[in-house]
Amino acid sequence: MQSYFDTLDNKMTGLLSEMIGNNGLQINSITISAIYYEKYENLIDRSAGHRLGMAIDIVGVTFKNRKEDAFFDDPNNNIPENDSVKAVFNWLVGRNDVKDVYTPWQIKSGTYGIKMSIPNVWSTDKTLTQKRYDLMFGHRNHLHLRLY
Amino acid sequence: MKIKKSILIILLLSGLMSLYAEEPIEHRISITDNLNLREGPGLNYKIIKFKNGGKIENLQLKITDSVKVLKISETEDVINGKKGRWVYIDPGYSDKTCGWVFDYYLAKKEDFRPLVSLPENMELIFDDGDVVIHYKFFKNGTTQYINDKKIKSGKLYIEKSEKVIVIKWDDQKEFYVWNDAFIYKSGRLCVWSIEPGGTCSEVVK
Repeated sequence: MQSYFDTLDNKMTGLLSEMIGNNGLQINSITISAIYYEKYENLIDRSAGHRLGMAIDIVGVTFKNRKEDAFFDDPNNNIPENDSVKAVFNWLVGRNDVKDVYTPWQIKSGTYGIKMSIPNVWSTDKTLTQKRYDLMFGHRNHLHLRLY
Repeated sequence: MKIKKSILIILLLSGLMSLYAEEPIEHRISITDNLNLREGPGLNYKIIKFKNGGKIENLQLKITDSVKVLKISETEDVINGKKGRWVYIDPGYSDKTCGWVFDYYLAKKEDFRPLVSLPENMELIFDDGDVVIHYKFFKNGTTQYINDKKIKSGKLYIEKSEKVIVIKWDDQKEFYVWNDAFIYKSGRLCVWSIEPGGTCSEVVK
C-alpha cells in the first residue's frame, strides 16, 4: 500500500487530515485497505475513482472514547451502525467535495444519482436489482469514499 | 381502568392499521427525471426539500428509479393535459422519507412488453464504487449480466412510452418492474450518471 500512497490526490489527503482533526468526530485512527486498483486500468472512458487517486477504502475507524470503534469487516452484515460511524457518514455526505460514500450500512452516490442516502440492505431486501445487489454486497465490509 | 383499556386497544388498532397502510400496493418505475415528491396529493402542496451536501434541494425521482406505492388518491387529476392520480410512494431512503407524486410518470408492470429487437449488439461496462458492472445486450432482445462469479441471462422489456427498458431474468417466473432498468435513447441503453447524457452502451463489433 505504501508504494501507492503517492497516487492519492492532494484533496484526499487533505480530507483525511480534516477527518482526524475534526473535534466533533473524535476519530483516533483510520485504517485504509485500498487506494489504487489495477482492475480499473481497462475502464479507459469511465471515471474510476481508484485509478484517479480520488477514492479510498476504509476498513476500520477507532474513536477517542474507544466505545464505538468500528471495524467494517462484518461479512454477515449483522453489526448495526453505531452513532460514531453514523456521524462520520453524515459528516462525509454533508460535504460538497465528497461524491460517493458507500458503507455496510448506508449508501450515497453522486456519480449515479442516489442523492438521498439509502440503506445497504443486500442481506434482507429481495427486490434489489442485480446491479444494486452487487454494489451493496461489494461494500458490505468497508467504507468506500470518492471525491469530485 | 376501562377507559385505560379502551385507549390501549385503540392505540394498538391504530398501530396495526398504520402498519397495514405501509404495505406496498405495487412497485412502479419513474419514466421521467425531476419528478417532484410533494407533502400532499396535489400541485398546491409543497415540494419536499432535503440537504444534498451543503445545498437544500427539491426531492425528486429520476428516470428508472423504482418505488413502492403505498396509497393511491381516489380521484383523477389532469396536469398539463396528462391524466393521472396522485400516489404516496416510498423510494427507499434511509430516513424513510415518503411523498406524493403524479403517477402519469410512473410505469406499471402492465405498461411493459417484450422488446424483440435492438439495432446492434451492445455492451455496457462501468464501475460503481469498487464494483465493475457489465451487461451485454443482443439484437434479439436478450441480455446477460456478468460478474466475477456468474453470467445471468434475461430478456428485455420496454414500457409504452419507450423511454425505459427493464430486464426479466430467465430464473424469474414473472416480470418485476424493480429489476435492472435502463434509459432507452437513440437505440442505446443507458444508466443515469453524472456524465452528461448518462453512461451508455457501446456497439460491439
